[in-house]
Amino acid sequence: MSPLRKLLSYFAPYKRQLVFGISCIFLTNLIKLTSPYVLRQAIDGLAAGVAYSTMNVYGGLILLIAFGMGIFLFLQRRTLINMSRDIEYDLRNDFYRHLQRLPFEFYQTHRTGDLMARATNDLSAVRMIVGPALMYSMNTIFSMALIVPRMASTSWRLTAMAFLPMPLVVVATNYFSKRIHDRFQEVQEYFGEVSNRAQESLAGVRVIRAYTQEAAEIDSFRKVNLESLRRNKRLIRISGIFHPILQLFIGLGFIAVLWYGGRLAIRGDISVGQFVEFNLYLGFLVWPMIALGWVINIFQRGMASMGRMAEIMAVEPAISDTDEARDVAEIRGEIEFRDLTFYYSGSASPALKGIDLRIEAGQTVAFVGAVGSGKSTLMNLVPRLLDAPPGQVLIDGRPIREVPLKLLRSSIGYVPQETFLFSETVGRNIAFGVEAASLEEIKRAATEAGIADDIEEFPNGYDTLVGERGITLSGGQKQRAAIARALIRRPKILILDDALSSVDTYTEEKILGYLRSIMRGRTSLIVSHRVSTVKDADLIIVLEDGRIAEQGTHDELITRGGLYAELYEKQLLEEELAAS
Amino acid sequence: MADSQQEEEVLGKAYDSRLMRRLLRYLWPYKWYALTSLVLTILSAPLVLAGPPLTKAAIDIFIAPDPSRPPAGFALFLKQAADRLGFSGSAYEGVAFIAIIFLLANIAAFIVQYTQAVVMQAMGQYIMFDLRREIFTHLQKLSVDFYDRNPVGRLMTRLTTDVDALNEMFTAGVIAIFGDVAMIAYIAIWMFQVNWKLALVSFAILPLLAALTTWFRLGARSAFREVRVRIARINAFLQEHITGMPVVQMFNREEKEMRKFDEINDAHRKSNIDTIFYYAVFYPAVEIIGSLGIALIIWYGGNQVIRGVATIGTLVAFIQLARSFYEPISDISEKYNILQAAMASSERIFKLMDEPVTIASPEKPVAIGRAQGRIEFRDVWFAYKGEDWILKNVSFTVEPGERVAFVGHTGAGKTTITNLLLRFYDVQRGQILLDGTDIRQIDLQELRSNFSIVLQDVFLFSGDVASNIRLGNGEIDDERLRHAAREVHADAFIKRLPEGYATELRERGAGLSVGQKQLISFARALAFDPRILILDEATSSIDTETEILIRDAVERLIADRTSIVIAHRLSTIQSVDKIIVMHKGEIREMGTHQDLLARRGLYWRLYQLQFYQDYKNTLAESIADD
Repeated sequence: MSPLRKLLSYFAPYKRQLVFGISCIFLTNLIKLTSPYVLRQAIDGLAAGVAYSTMNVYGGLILLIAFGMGIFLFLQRRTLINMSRDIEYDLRNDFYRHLQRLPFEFYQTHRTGDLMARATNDLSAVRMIVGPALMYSMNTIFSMALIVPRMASTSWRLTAMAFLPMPLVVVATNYFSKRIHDRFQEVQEYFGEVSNRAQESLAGVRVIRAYTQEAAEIDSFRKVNLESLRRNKRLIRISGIFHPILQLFIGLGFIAVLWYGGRLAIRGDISVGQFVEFNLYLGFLVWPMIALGWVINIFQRGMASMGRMAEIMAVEPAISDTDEARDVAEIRGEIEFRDLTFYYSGSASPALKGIDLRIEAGQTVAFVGAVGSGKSTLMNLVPRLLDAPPGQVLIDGRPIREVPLKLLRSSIGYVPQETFLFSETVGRNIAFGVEAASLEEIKRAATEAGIADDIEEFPNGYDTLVGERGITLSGGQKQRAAIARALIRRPKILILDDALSSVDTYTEEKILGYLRSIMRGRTSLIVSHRVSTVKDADLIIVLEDGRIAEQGTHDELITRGGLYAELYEKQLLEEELAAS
Repeated sequence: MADSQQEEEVLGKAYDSRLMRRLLRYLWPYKWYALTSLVLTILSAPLVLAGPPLTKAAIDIFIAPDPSRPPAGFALFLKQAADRLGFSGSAYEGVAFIAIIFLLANIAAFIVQYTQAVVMQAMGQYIMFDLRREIFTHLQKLSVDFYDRNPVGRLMTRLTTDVDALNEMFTAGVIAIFGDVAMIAYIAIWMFQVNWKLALVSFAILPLLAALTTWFRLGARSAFREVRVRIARINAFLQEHITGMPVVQMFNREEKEMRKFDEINDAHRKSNIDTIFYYAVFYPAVEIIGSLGIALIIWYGGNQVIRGVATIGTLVAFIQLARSFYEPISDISEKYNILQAAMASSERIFKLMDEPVTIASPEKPVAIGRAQGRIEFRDVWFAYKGEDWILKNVSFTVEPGERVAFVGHTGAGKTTITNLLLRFYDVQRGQILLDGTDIRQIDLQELRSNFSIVLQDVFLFSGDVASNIRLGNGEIDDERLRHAAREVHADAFIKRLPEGYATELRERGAGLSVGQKQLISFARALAFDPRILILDEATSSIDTETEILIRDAVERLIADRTSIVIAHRLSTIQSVDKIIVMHKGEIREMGTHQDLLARRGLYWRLYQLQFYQDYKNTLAESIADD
C-alpha cells in the first residue's frame, strides 16, 4: 500500500466528521462572502445620500454575518482538528502495536533514536496533513471558488489584473519553502551532532574529569556550536526573505486594483462601493493564497514522514503464529536441535552449522565457547527471538513453530546477556512476566536470585523506582533482578545467557545453589565463561565457530583433553598461581 | 526525585524583571543588532500599512471627490506632490501617481522587513551560541556529585530546548512585540489625526478584545501544560519499550503494555482536544469582535458621512484598518506563551548556572608538579548523603611506587576511595594527602593530571580509536599513542580493525568486545603516563584469551608507578605489595597476601570464596551471618 493510500485508510472511521467539517468550511466561506456586499451597498448608499436609519441596518447585518460565520468557523476547527488528533491517536497506537510484533532481529538492525523519530516527529508531521493542511487547503479551494466569480462579475479585467501577481506568489512559495526546508534539515541534522557531542561529554564526565580534558571538551563543543551557528545563518538568509516577498507580491495585486479599479471607478464603470467590495474580496484571498503555498509544503513533508512510518509498518513480523500452530496445552521442556544451520539475514556465513543436540526435559545443559561462537544465537532460537529454518528446532518432539508463541514464551524464563529493566519499581520489574504476583512470590524470587538483601536496603524496598527517576542499580544487581524476573515465572525452560557475568563468584554460587532446587524437573540452559558455573551441568556443550566442538559431562570432557580441558586448565592455573 | 520531574512542567509568569534583567545581559553584546532590528520594525509599520491611507486619498481626491471638502493633511500633501511631479493632467494620472507611491512603499517594506528578519534572527543565533557555550563551560566545572543528582537527559534539555525557548523569546518574542505595539500605535495615531471621534468609536471594542485574549491565554496555558506532560510520557514510554522490546515479547507483556500505551496515548489526545477548544472559540470570537468594530464604523461613520463630517475615503480606510488593528493584538497574546516558556526556561538555565562549583581549585594552590606518588588517607569519613557513612575513619598510606589492592564485598567502599583521591567528592572529615599536601590545597588540574584511572565500565567517545586513547591531549603524539597501545596489547587488534587507529567507533564502541574496550582504556591510561594509576578492575568475565592479555597488560600498567587497584583478579592481587581489606566502610585487614592468609581472617575467607569453589556450605553461612 502506498503511503497516501495508507493514510487515507485512516480517514475511514471519520467519514462523517470529515464531511461535516468540510461542509462547515464551505458554509463559513459562503457566509463570509456576503459582508463585502453589504459594505458595498452601504457605501453606494452613502454616495447616493440615504437616511441615517439604513446605516443601522447595514451595521446590524455585518454583525449578524459575523456571528453566523463564527459558528461554522468554530465547528470546522472543532470537528476537523479534533479528527486529526483522533487519527494521530489511531496511527500512534497502530505504530506501537506493530513495533511490538517485530522480531528481535529488527531491533538489532534499527536504532532506537530512529524509531523514536518516526513515532514522534514524523507522526506530528503527518498529523499536520490530516489536520491543519486539510482544513486550510479546503478553505483555499472554497474561498477561491466562491470569491473569484463574485469578483469577475464586477469586472473580469480587474479580476485578471488583481490575479496577475498570484502565480508569483505560488512560485515564490514553492521555491522558498523547498529551499528553506532543505536548509532547515541541514540545521537539524547538524543539531544532532551538537547534542551528541554534549550528551557524550556529560555522560563521560568522570573520564573527562579524571583525565583533565575539560578544556579540550569545551573547545570541541565550541567547534560544533560554531558550525551550527553558521548553518543557522545560512537558513536565516533564505527564510527571512519568505514572508516579505509574499507581502510584496500580494501588495502588487492591491496596487493593480487601486490603479485599474480607480480608473474604472472614475470612468463610472464601477461604483465606489464596488471598488471597496473588490478590495475586500482580494483581502479575503490573501490568507488562502499564503496557506496554499504553506499547505503544499506541509503536505510534501508530511507525506515523506508518512512514507517513513509506513515503511516500518510494512515490515512483516517475521516471527508469529502461523497456520502450523497446534493446540498445545503445556510444554515439558524437551529441546532438540536437528541439524540446525542458521544464517543471520544478509550474512553470507552461517552463525550456527549442523547443530545436532537433544536436551531432555529437566536436564541442565551448559554452553561454553569464545565470543562469536554462536552461544547467544542458539539461546535466542529457543524462545523464537530468532527463527530457525523449519523443522530444525523441536520442543517436546514437535517443530517449534507448532507451539503457540505465547505458550512457548510463557514457559521460558529468559535472562539475556544485556539486562534491561523498566523505569518501574523493583517489585514490578520482577513481576513483569506474570499475571499477578503476591509480594511473597516476588520476595521469594528475589531471594532465589540473590538480590533480596540488596532490595531490603533500598530506600523504599520493593517500591523503589529503578532508572533515571529512581536508583541506579549496579551491573550485578541488574542481572540478579533479571534472574528474579525469570524465576518468578517458574519456567519449564530457564535460559541464562551469560547472566551471571557481573555477579561475584560468591553470590553466583549461592544463586546456582537455589537454581539446583528450583530447576529440579525443569530444563536449564546456561551460557558462561566460567568453568565454575558450568561444571556441575548434566551436559556441557563447547561451541566453536558455530559448531559443536565437544560435548559431555565435566569429567568426560576433562578426560578427553580438548578445548574444554584447555579452558579448565587455564582457569585452574590461575588458581594454582594464587595458591603458590 | 519526583518533584524535580515536575519542575520541568511548571510554567510561571510571563515576565519576571529579575530574570529579564539577567537575560538582557546576553542581549547586550548585540545591542546594535537589537537596535537596528527595532528601528526597522517600527519603520515597517507605516510601510506595511500604506494601503488604507493611500486608498483613502485616491477615493477622496480622484475617485469620489467631494467638492465641499477639499483634500487636507496627507491627501493634500499627495495632491501637491502629484501636481509638482507632473501627474496633474487628469484624475487617471492622479490615481496612477498614488499607485506608484503604493508600489514604492511596498518595495521599501520588502527591503526593511527582510533586513530586519535577518538581523534579528542572526542576533538570536549569536545569543544561543553564547548561552550554550556558557552552560557547557559551567557544566565542565561542576563536580561529579552534581551529575549524580542530575540525569544527563535533564541537562541536555537545558542545552537544547531551554536555550531554544530563549531564542524564541529574543526573536519572535520581544522584538516582535515591539513591532506589534508599533503597528497598533501607528494605526491609533493615524486614526486620531484623521477623525478622532470615529477613532474613539473604533476603539470601543478594545476592552472586549482584551477580555477575550485574557480568557484564551489563561485557558490555553493550562491546557498546553497538560499536553507537554502527556507527550513527555509518550516519549519516555516509547524510548523504554523500543529499547526493551525483546523483554516485552519474551515475557508475553504485549497486551498489557499495549493497554498502558493506549492509556497514555489517549490522555495525550484528550489534552490536545482541550487546547483545540480554546482555539476554536478564540478565532471566531476575534472575527466577531472585529465585525462589531466594522459595524460601529458603518453606523457612526456612515452618519458622519451623511452629515458631511467624514468622507467616504475615511470610512473605507477605517474599515480596512479595523482589520489590521486586531491582528497585532491577537499576535501579542500569542507571544504570551513564548514569554512564559522563556521565563520558565531561563529560570532553569540560571539555576544551573548558579549551581555552585563545590569542588574547585584553591585560590592559592600549593604547586606539586609531577608528584612522587605518596598517598595518605588520614581519619577519613565520607558519606554521599547525610550521615550515611560510606567510609568510616579510614587511614592508610601508600608509598611512592607501591602497589596496593583493595578487596571487599560490593558496597564496602572500595570505589569511593578512588573517587575521593581524584577529588570527585570532598571528604567530610579527615584529610587526604598527596606527597604530604592536602589534596584540597592542590590545583585540581595538577592533582588529577598525576593520575590515570581505568573504570570498570569503559566509557568510549564517538570518534576514532586514536582519539579515544588520546582524548583531547595534544601532547600525546602518534608515536607515544602506539607505544602505549603496544604495551597493553591493544595494538594487535586495533591494527586488525578496518581502518586501524582511524576506525570510527560506532555508538560507544558497539562491535568491540568488553575485553577490547578494556584494552583501549588501558592504552588511554598508559598514554597519559601518570604517576599514580587507579584501576577499578572489571568484574565481568571475559574469554580466556583476552583474559591473559589483560592480565599481562595490568602488569605493565602498574609497573614503576604508585598503583591502587580495586582487584577482582587473583593475578593482580598476587602481584601487589599490600592488600587492604575493606568491610562496610572500614579497613579490616592490611598486609601482604601471605600475611593475610596466615591471619585466617576476612581476607582468607574472601579468598576461599572467590577462588575455591569447593567451599563448605557452613563456611558460606558463617559469612552470611557476618
